[in-house]
Amino acid sequence: MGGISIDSVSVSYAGNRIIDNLSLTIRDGAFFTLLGPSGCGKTTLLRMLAGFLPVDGGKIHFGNTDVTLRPAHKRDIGMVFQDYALFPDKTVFDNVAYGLRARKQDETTIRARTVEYLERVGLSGFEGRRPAELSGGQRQRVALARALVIAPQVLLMDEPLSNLDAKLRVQVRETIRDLQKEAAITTVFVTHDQEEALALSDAIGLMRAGQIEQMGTPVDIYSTPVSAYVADFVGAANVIAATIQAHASKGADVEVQLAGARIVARAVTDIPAGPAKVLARQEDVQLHAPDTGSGIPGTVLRRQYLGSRTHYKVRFGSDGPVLSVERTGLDHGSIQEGAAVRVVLDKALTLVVPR
Amino acid sequence: MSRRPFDGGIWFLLSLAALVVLGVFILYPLINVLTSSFGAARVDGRSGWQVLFAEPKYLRAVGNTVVLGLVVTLTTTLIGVPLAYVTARFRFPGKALIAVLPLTTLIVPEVIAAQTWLMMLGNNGLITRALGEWGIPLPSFYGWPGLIIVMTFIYYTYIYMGTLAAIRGFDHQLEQAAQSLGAAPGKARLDVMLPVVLPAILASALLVFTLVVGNFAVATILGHKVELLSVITYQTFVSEIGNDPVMQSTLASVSIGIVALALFLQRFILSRGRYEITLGRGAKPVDIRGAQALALAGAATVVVLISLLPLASVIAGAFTRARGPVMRWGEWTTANVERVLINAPDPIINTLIYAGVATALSLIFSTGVSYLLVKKRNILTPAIDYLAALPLALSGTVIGIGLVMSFNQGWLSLTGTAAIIVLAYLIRRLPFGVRNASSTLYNIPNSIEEASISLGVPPLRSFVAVVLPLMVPAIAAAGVLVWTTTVAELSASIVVYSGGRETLPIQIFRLIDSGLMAQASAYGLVLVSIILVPIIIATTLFRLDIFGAK
Repeated sequence: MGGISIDSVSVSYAGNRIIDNLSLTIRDGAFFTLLGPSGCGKTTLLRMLAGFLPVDGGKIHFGNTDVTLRPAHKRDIGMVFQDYALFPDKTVFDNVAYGLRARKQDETTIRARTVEYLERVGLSGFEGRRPAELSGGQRQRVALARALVIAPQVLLMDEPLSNLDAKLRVQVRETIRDLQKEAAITTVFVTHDQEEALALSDAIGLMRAGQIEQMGTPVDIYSTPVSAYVADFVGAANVIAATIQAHASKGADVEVQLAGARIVARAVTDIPAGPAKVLARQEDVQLHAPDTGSGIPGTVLRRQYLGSRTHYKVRFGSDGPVLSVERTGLDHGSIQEGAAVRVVLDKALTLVVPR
Repeated sequence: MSRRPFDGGIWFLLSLAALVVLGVFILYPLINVLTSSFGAARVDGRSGWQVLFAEPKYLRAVGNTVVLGLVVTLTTTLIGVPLAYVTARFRFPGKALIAVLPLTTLIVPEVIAAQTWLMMLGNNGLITRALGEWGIPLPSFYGWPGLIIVMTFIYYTYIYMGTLAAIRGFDHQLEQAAQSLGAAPGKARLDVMLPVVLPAILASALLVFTLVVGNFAVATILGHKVELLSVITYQTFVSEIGNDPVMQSTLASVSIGIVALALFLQRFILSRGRYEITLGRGAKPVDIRGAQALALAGAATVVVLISLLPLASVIAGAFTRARGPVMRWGEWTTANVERVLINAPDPIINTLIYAGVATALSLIFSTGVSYLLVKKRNILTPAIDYLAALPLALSGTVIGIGLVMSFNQGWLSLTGTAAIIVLAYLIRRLPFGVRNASSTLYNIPNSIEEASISLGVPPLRSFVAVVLPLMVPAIAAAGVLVWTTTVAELSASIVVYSGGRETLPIQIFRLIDSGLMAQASAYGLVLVSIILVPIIIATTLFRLDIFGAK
């Protein structure tokens, strides 16, 4: 066992450098998610870990073993693919037993382990079926059992839930998390779905253009995004262009001029004086009655009642930016379009990031 | 230099090996043919091109070939396109008959088609004589009438199948959209469907043109006084072998040029109207009844019956008593068949051995090459892809001449061996096999192989364990196709074969040349059986979808 360490690794594909000098450490037994939009290099990174793509430089360790030059079939990985990649001509049993047979285990062990893992993924009794006779969720469960039954050192998953419908996605997601925890296998999970990443991960690496933009726990990523990119990708945030007068150090309060008003926000990192961006989560923006003294005056432009919550578009100040605001609970769309409100940006929940 | 710890190296070496093989056996002969045409003829020192433009007979042959190509392309389109439309859009009694169509062109080799049409309509033909007794004289079947009619009925299925696939894939909703916008149904169809289906029609038309230009069997049996490029090239080769290869190269180059020009024109036309073809749900066939149905069924039946005529007459001919060239129709005998099976089975044995070896090698090579093309792309891939498709644009005669010129002596002397026949077969059918295997491989996701590798099985063994089993049905189908077309191959093998190595089509051709139709029919019957038996076994026992027809 052991974690994964990636040390200044670069990957090129068809002449383009997809990943440039990237370093990353994943704790032993952790569920680590690579999150990012398509084309950010997350799948490339995963395939490089699997051994399907050669690296241009750098080192990869699984535990204490240097696997940089080790071919895929000798890396002791379990891999789950987006399209399941079940062997269509083999039965469910033979699919799951495939890796054990490759490891030349005896038939009794193979039988016992295969049956055990099919039971764990809730597919006892499906041994004789072929992949075509299974639903999407069942197929992905077989793929999961196939990857886990060999007790790999590292589990790699490439968007395993994206071909499933919303309900199944949540079910299979829970199965994945339970099995991973039980086996305590270091896992790298690739997805573009922020909810999946937040729900499953011990740690998330948010990727952008072949680099890790931010790494941290789901709470870190959501509550203290280091950039507008992160804030916008994980959850919905208002991103407002602003100017800061003086250099702000990390964690300090900063005064920001916004649409004629002066607000205070917290600097996420060290930021030089000049143009910057202010971030405020939709649910963190408060709307008060116009007669309360706090906040900045604003006008409700649009209201969308969504049942459990209500979505407003609010003009900040008289000619300031338009903010998205989400109110939950008892609001029930009580503020009318055109109404005057006062917009309050809490200084603990409003962040300043570099431009 | 990037570090490639994995399988990159071995696949690159295999690609290189494939490229070398293709270069030696396809590109090198082709270059030989093209360059020799610029050499000086030994007779008078003029280059082949000077002779070509000086001698009217050569220019006539070029003109005739192009005219024949255009006419047959037109006639096949006129039959194939309406037939495809009717089949795709209507249901009528007897429609199942049309499903037989693709089979007929495959199972009846060109040489047999030409022969049987002669037995019916030739100077001594059954129908010619019967009508003569009634006092109705038929014009000579030799020359233009025979060439056009026989080639039309051999090649229209290519247009039919290409168009049918396109119409079936055409999104019916587009047509409905046009109607909803106020276009009349007929006009809507023309406006919306034609531009979408046209590329497919054009592609199959080009194929037909190429096949007509390259056709040797029908051209030489029925051409008579109509000089044609393929015939004149072959004659030049036969009379000048080992003597003066300039003229044969020049004529071969001309036919390469004609096909290249047609290919270029097709690309040009297609590139002017670029659109994405959305494959949608095709329209459901509509039931039609009454007089219309009768007319459609009648027309379809006539087409099918004419297509089946060669098959019927080769069977009849094989069992008809003959004295020399005279067929005694109505007097039955098994003597012809006994003779070819017992006294002179050599052509049968030769065919089975050469085609068997060629089919096996072809499957192995084309599966391997396709795997490299689809799954292991590198900088050599485009060159391999191009070279593997090149034989499509070369007629059998050209391929044969190229092989003889290149491997007559020197480091690899193959003339007079069985190997050169097998090689000619292999090259002619290579594009078939590669296209077939490639399309199968495109449908097998990479992840299946990677899943196997990730579970600890090395790459090559993963291919064998999980990819190959998925390819088996397609490889088997390709095998049947390659086999059926290889045993019927004439134009390349007749150029490269040597005495004692006659194959069935060569022997049949020689017998037709001597007017011995009964014996030719007997060999023809054997040839058709050799073609038919694997098809029947594959489609009934193994339920293979050989013709892509559902």
